[in-house]
Amino acid sequence: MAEEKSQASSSKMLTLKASDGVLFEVELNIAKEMKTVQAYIDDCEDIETIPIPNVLGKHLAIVIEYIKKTNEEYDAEFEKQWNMDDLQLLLLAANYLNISGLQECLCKAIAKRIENKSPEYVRKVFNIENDHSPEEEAKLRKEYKWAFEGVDKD
Amino acid sequence: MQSSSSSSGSCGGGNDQVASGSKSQDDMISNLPDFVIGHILSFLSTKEAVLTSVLSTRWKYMWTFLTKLDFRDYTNNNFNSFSNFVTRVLFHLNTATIQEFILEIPHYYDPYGYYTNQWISAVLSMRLKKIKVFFFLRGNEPKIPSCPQLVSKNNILSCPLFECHESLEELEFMISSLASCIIKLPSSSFVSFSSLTVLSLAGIITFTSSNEIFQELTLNFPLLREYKAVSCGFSGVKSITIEAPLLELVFILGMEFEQVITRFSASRITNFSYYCDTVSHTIFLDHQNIPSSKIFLVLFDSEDHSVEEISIFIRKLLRFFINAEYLELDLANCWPGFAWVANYLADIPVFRMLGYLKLKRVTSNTLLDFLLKTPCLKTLVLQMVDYDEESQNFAIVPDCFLSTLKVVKFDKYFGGEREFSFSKFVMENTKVLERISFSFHESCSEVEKAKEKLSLVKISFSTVIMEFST
Repeated sequence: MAEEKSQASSSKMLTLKASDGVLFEVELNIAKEMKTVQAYIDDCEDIETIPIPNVLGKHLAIVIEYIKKTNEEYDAEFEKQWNMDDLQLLLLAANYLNISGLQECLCKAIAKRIENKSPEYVRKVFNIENDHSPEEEAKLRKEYKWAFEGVDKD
Repeated sequence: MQSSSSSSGSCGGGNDQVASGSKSQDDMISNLPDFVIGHILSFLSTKEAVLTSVLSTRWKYMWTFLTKLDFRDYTNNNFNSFSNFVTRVLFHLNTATIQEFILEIPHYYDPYGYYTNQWISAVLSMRLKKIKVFFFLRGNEPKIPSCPQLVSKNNILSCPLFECHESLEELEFMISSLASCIIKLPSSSFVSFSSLTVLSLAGIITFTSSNEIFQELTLNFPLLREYKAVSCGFSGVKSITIEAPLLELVFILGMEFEQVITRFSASRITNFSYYCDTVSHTIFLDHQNIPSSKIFLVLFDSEDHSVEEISIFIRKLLRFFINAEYLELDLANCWPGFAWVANYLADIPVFRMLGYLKLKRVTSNTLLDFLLKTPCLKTLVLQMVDYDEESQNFAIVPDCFLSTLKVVKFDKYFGGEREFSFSKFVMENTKVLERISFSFHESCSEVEKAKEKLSLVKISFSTVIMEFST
């Protein structure tokens, strides 16, 4: 269970409950960065514990830490630590919680990992199954010919 | 190469993280909302984004959620293939949501701008935040042409950019020297781009105010931080005021066209570069006490103005920068006859904050004129010319010699009489000098002799380091 120490100032603390039951106590101003949580608070003012059903405790912890520490330097290093699965799950979390800065950072990070890679590689990274018929795929490659020029299997 | 759908065995190396340690075999990414995937793809070049259409049927139109377009072709191959691609992409997208449009192509791809005009018009909307168009000469890396010569006056781009005047944050047009571009402004004497932070134009670019001729035009850029104009000009107006309270960087190189008075209403400029013909263009900075830090001036005179006129212009210009901390000045191209006119810059203002001064191709008289007006100078870098002139009068020792001057560097040292006299003057009279260095001109034939001569000068105290380099 992660706990945050509140400051001497009277900033209200809020509890967030991840999908696997892990609880996080955060300051109000941190929680407010998550627009979804903000909307929740606006709707029910007295709430103390907010359920976050789509996000695992492990990822919620990362998200909270991001909000606290985000700056240019931190963001640049942040994305290097996670594997592709985590990045996607974090993006899903950031999307659900509506945190624009984190979404931006994660989108950029994912894009960076598939930059200059062939479609075959990208499918593998994301576990995408190719359900195009060969004719369909050929048609697309012809239609956007210029995009496919010079693309090698990586 | 075209590839079949059989997968290859190896993946790329480097920092690729292919589900290491994770047991998930799910295709998570395809379950993200379309616009989120569109956002991810927006960080790729448009070429790569469109490649994802073959990933699976779900991905066929995913790329149409792009918000940023980035079309670059440095391969110099086939314009038809490229233009078909761009046209198709623009056709399928919702162009009203495009926020950025970047186009970098060789000039010969679209010499009359026929396609480029159409493409830009397609994306001009209230959402457009950034436009960058770069037409380069074949095979070159992107760079701004310096003082381009006019080869033809094909009007390449006529864009009604004003349509996105509220949303546009960055505007960069770099057109190679073979072309020109017209940016039409609405017919009004007050034009505002309320979100613009970066304005960078290179190439023969004219701003016109429709059909009417106004005497004065005010360009209002409340958020502008960078203003770069290479070979740009305004036509149809006599004077322009650029209102930019947050402006920090100004870079002006070569202005074209008729004489236009340009006024900058900006009090935060920290970096000002001006490489222009003197006198032909009048420039004003509104607040005389700009806390400007770095100033770069290269002035030349192509129209044979008199010494008087040029001196007046230079003095007026320098007066804007009396608070400068760093000044680089190159006047060599102004009327070579200047060398024969002593003290034409004797009336320049005092630069109370100047710590660094670099003067190119300056005579010893001008040099001294400057030194007498820079009481706090710490570093002096100079390249002297050795014109034959009346004897120098080194009777007055500048204040900075006595209290602040620590580093003196001679560039392209030739070993001539005047240079040597001046270096002697420095070494014998400075009180706090720490280092004096001489970097020899490549055609200097008697380097050793010059070195020896300099080493023999008695420096006022012994802890000064003397350095030589070639």
